[in-house]
Amino acid sequence: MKTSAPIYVVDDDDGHAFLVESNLRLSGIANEIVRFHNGFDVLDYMLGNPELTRVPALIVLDVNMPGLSGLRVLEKLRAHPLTLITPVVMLSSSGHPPEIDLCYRSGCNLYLMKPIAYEEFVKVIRLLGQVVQVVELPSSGTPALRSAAF
Amino acid sequence: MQRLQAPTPVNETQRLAALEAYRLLDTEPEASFDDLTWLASSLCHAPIAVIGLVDSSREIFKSRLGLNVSGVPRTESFGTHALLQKNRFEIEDAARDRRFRDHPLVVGDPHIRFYAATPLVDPEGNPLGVLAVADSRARSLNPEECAALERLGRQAMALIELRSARSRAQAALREGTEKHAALNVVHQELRALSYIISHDLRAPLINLMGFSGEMRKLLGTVTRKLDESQIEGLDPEILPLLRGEIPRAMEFIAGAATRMSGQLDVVLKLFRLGRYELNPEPVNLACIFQSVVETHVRPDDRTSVRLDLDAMPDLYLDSEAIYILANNLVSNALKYRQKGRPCRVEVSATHDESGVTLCVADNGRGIAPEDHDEIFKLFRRCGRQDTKGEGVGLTFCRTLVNRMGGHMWLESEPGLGSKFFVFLPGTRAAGAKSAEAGSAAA
Repeated sequence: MKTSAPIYVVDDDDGHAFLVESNLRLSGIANEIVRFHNGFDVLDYMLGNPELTRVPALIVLDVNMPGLSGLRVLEKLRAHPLTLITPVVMLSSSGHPPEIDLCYRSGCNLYLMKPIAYEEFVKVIRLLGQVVQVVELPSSGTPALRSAAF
Repeated sequence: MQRLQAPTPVNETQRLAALEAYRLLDTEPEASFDDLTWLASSLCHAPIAVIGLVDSSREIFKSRLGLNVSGVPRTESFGTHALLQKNRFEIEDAARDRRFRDHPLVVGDPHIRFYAATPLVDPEGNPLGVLAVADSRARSLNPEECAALERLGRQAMALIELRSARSRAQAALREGTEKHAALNVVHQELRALSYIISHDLRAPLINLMGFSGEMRKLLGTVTRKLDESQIEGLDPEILPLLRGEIPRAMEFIAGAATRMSGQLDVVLKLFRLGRYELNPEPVNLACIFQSVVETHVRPDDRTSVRLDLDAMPDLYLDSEAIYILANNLVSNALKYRQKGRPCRVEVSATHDESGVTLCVADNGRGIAPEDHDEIFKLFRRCGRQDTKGEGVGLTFCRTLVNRMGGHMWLESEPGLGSKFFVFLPGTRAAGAKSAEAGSAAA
């Protein structure tokens, strides 16, 4: 993964967001991490600024958020050319089977359950961080720009 | 105007209550009752015909033909007199009858002379009212007209009965529909609750566990740095606090959160079991219990488990559910043993047309009668707490058994042992029959 593109963390729970950010960092992620407190904030920021040059390399999205749920955010992201193929990792404290299916059907790339036990939580987020560092992600920019570059 | 009044019928209170229960008083005209008065008028050749119901103060006409009043006070009611008769009541000439000669309907319009009525008697024997015909000329009913009036009277009573049965059925149906809707709401709420448990109640626990973990880590760092920097004049009580009391306090927080997280998982599992999709297939009870016993009993154990299930045919049941049941019942029987005697467990079953009754009997410590209901409740454990357990196994079992349409009960003698019974509706699997037939042929 290129380290120039930021990673977005969207979670309404400050504690969860802190644990996610700090453990992504501890896994060796060097990218800028931008935190959003809810679904509206991230959509306004991304879709409201067409001149935005640094499209995120990865979005870590909480499922259960007040106002606009993670699922709704995901649907909006997938409907927009800018974020049509941006990798999205859904994080949920539930692991409710129908919810998992729905997330994948709506186009998420990974669904991770937030474990309650601290050691487990740390392990999951650090593994995610390690995986993200070695996988190839789509290049930044709009799909049109991407194909032009190709 | 002093007229001779009809005496009050015996059992008047009961009669009025019965009449009230039919919910006929002051109701709109109905074609089926009007048909009967039309027939009465026609067959008895009388211009006036009514179906009158006598309540405490009035005779009310449920149907009337040739009469333009909807009811009369009881004191002026012919029906009140007719009610007292076992059979037909007839006045050939009211003008010559001292009970009726100055009656408003005799003196004035419609100048009734002739009146004949048959009482409408409910199945309990309460006379509710009358089917009556009347004429402005003095006359009597011929035998054919009498027979018609009496038969129509019975039809009128039958109609009243049917009408009441129909409205009771409708009310029951309505109530059923409402209950069903209410149950649906409860079901939806339970589904919502299971999501709340699986998500909203877990989210804060992640923080509780996460940050007590972070604190533990930070405390370790602080303690190490204090150790390394060897600060002069550091209060000697601080390091023991950092090493002992504070981490222990953190452990309590983390322990409570862990316990709560486990309990949330249990409640969630219970919800899922309650909605568990049954998948009935031919199940061999002996096989399932055998495999359960093998996981619990070591060969060198002084425990004896006897399975008396060989005579059981394969039954059409959900094998996963049976496994959970068998596992919980057998492990309980082995766990709650009486000190000082070898543990003996016996599993048996009987089968008939309706289903199978399983029995898991032990010679363990037994359960006090007052705890027989308690042990099925979630997170409740009874008796001496000298073994580990969460108090969820029997709750799971009962939920599953209910899901399968069966029931569960126990017999127990404290100090001697317990017998847990499970009844499950389950038919003999078709495959098992043919297998038996096959082996018999071989």
